[in-house]
Amino acid sequence: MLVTRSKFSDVWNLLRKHCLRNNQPVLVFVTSSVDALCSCKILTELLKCDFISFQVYPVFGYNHLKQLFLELEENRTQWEFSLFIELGATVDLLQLLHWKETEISKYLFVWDTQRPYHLRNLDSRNIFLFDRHSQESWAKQVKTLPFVGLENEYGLVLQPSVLEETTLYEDNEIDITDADATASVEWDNESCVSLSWKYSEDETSQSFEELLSPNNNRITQHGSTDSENSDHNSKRIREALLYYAKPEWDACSSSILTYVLARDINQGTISHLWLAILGLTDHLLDSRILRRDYEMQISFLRTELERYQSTTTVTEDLSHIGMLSTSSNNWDKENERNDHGSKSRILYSIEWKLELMRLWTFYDSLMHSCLFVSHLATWKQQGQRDILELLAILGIPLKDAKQTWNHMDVRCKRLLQSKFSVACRHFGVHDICFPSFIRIFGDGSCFSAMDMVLCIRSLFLGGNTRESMDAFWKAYDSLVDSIVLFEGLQRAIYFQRYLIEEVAQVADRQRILSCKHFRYILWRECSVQLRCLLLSPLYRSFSVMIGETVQRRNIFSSKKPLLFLARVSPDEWQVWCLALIGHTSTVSPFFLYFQQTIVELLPHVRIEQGRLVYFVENGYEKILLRKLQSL
Amino acid sequence: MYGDHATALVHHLYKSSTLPPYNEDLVRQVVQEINELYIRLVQLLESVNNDLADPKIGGTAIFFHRVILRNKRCVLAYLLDRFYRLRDSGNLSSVDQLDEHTSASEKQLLAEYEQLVATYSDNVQIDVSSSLYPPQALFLQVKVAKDCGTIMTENGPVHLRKDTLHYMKRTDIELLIQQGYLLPIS
Repeated sequence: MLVTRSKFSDVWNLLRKHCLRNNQPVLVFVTSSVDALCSCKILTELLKCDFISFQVYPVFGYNHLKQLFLELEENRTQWEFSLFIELGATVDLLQLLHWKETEISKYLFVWDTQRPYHLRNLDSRNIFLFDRHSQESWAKQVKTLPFVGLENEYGLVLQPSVLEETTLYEDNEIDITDADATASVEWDNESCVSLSWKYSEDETSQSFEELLSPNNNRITQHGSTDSENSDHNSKRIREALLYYAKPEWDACSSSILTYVLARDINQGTISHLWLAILGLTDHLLDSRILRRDYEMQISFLRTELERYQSTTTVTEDLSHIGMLSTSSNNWDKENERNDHGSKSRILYSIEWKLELMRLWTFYDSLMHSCLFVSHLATWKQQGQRDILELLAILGIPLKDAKQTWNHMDVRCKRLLQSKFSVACRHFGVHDICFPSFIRIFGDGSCFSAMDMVLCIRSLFLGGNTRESMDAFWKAYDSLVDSIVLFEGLQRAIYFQRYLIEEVAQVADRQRILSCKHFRYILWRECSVQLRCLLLSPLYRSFSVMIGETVQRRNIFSSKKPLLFLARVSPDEWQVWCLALIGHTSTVSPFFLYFQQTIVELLPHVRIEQGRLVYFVENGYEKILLRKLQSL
Repeated sequence: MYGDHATALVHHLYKSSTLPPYNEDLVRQVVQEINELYIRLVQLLESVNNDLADPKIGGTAIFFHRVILRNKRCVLAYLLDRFYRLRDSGNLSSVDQLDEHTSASEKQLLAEYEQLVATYSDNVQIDVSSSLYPPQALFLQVKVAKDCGTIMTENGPVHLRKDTLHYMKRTDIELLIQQGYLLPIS
């Protein structure tokens, strides 16, 4: 069932009440992503406020999750509530874990931004999906949901033969307009601003039984049961296919939702706010959120920032990008080790899309920025000449541009502040700026949200499960430990350079092969570094960068989904699709057909991350490609 | 050159902030050097009938003697510092440390020390091996460094699986923290 925005605090208070009464720990399952870590941190801090025991388990796929639950059952661990962070919304959790709804008295709270929801989760009494929508907007959406029951636990519709009978597109298909799209992703700012928190033990508004009553956000049975009519059946199947066709993300990060919960129950702090900022930035960097939704969230966070800090002075506003920071030492490691909190300030800032700008040289950040790489192909000589020309237009000597940011001449920084955006337009780079936040630590050093996310992400690089586990905890520690974060910085720089090399290879050697409805890239052999990259959560950043390079450099005239196939082990191929969000509002036939082809090959396909990534047995990737090419 | 092995031994310990594995080879080399120098010193003294009037002989004898003393001091410092690190870490019974990083005599020393502490604690009815400072909080957040199996707590059994994070009552896990199975996290 869905927990709408206004019910967050009620449901959470019920969890608190039950846990304090029964003294059972809360199990927390969290995936490897910055947003998930930030949400986990916020939620565990909320549990700590009430001295509720919890146990945190990193999860690396749904098979791993099943294994964890088997172990919990064998060990007879007693629990009543569990939190799923950035996993669980798109799969039928009860079926996955082999539970029968009537037999269990456990509750699963899911904080996941992946969409679409698995319909069985919406229908379940034991699963609570926390969603940013209000009651009213959800009531409208419920009416458009397809028939429940045609999909498996991973949301794959299991009637492939029906594809031959139905047309993927009908003549009277209506494209979603921008207005509709805006309405459907509107952040419910009213309930944020006018919220008044009221809680006391005596007046807890609802018990779980009341929450589970039919009028409370569960999708009721819809669609009639007279399934004899085959046209009706086909229509239902087609609706289900379209519903589940394309994996997407909600227009909000789970860390913002958890922050909103913290604020609702009056436990929000500035540290939580910073974590929410990091989570949102993680979504932006992976192109999981539209620009307008991102800006809406940023304005909300900016309002929230004013609650914790005095209003920034005019001087601080002008000194965005920390350009007037003259601290010679980036880090006082010993003093900063446990001090991510009290001595630091957070400032709103208009940032440039230059990765790690403050942490290495301006020239390097230009050469390795995803934006400039995709626009100018900086791996080529022409691209490098363009960069030099840009510096010349700005009036910045190359020698100064190759200084680390903190040691760069202040006059050059002032030139950048006044001229950089304009100069970039000369080279066709129009969206260099984006609103964000920076954090200024006690010693005066400055860290942008983007850079911090990149540093934490780079710590996720790992190959096998053991390395992934160590990487997870290192990334978790980096949220509070400066020394670990500094290690992440070194890796982030290495990773950024490596990313450009790989993108250059793909773009230059024309490894992108084109078909009628899609394009694909094939890696028959993966180096160790590439394998580590693809098996980590960073695979998406990599594919987004390739997709954006392809698009911005107009390598092809039309936009099509991009399919990636990489042989990550002798027995398996990792397969995933990329469709940059906002590029198409209707579902391409490719996604429908891709889903159905996967269904046909199911015995030879391993699903670990919902329908985002598939692992196909060696030999079957050819069959997959052949079927998709015949579309 | 004389004294190089002893210098290397001290550096080996100085460079690491935690307890490194016991460097048996270096210790043996230093001891061997001490023995060799002692034999040479004795031979020298016997050859001059313990008469050190000649400055060259006297100087050589003093040099050998100083080197022997220096080597001895370095080895003793090495052993003592290792003992202090083991004792102060609180992991006297830590399985990892006993198996991997300590020598046989260190293991025996630690066992006897632990016995001594236990006997004293029994006699005075106070657990002197516990923390000297009062606990700051009722609950503690810990990461499981090594599988502990299932432990019984006030609220029922809890399975402590490696690489998981737990927030639990301090009294349930204090012993495991002291033994190094759980790492407290701030």
